Amino acid sequence: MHIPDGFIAPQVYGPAYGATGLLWAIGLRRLRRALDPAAVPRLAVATAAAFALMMVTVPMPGGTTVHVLGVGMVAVLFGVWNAFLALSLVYLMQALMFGNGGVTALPINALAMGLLGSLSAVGIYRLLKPLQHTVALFCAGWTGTVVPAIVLAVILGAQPHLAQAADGTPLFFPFGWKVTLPAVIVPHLLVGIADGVLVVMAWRVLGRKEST
Amino acid sequence: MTCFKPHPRVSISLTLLFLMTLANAPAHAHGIHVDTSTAPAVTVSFSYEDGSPVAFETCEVLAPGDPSPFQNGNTDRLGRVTFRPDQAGTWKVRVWSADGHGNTAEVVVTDDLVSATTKRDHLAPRQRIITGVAVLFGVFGIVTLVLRRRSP
Repeated sequence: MHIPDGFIAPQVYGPAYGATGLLWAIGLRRLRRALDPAAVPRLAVATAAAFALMMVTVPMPGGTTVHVLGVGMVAVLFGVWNAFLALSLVYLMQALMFGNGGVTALPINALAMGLLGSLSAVGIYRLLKPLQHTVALFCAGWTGTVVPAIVLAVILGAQPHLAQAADGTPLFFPFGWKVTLPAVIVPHLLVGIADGVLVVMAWRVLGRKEST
Repeated sequence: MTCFKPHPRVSISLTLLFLMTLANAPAHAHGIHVDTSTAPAVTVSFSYEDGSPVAFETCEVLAPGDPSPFQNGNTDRLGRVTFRPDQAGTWKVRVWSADGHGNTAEVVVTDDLVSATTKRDHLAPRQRIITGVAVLFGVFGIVTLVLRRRSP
């Protein structure tokens, strides 16, 4: 799902870099102050697992492919801020080293998946946890995949309206909301099921270490 | 026996119409001419992580230094874009899919307009995973050291 370079207009990624940069600075300061060094190895394992699983693509009808995000897993186990920073590190590495996701689109990928995905996953988890813990874990994983899909579909679909050549042709991503909303969201409604199962399994393996 | 004799105006109109059909250019201006030739071309292939082709997706070819498209259309069934460059330099071949996947390949075309290479080589998926996991563990190792050195 990572947005590549050349899809997003500068008037979007410029301010996004500003906002995300500020959030990264706040998060790093908070991490330096509050993160327990004993938790770092488990965070490293969870982050590495999310990264490795992101490389596994699932073919979808219509010829496209989709992959799990792992956002819910990292967020539920380690909290929103730790997940935001850890996943931002993954997206940065993917952009710089593997050309997977753009450098200009990095703040948008980090905001949509790392921050909003984590927030929504943890929010749903806390809401449903009193009812049934396993269901709460599953729904957190599913939500942490679907919410970023909605956000990115909206951002992508806005590009033709934001930047156009003199003759009206889009300068960046050419598809509007009528195309991006179903094309992005529907596959992630399905792959979110895998993310939900992933959170349940990760909880069993890595345990209740960092409370959210 | 009566003979059909057209009105003089009808006769003149039919005569003029007949003469117009003998004229060349105006009646043929809307035709499309076809010419076929074979020549070396540059083909850029796009595939997803699992190797399946990026088939029938929107694509665009940009000449060096020109922001307007040199060629546009769709990739073929095998995920390929083929074009015949008219100048040497770094060309861009861009592919979009509606779900946000895409890539921009930078293709360096040599002076003979035949040889071309893409600017970035990709690691195989397994190598990416191993490299990425190693980098992540390294970074988190440094984070652990930094956290342990903070004042209590």
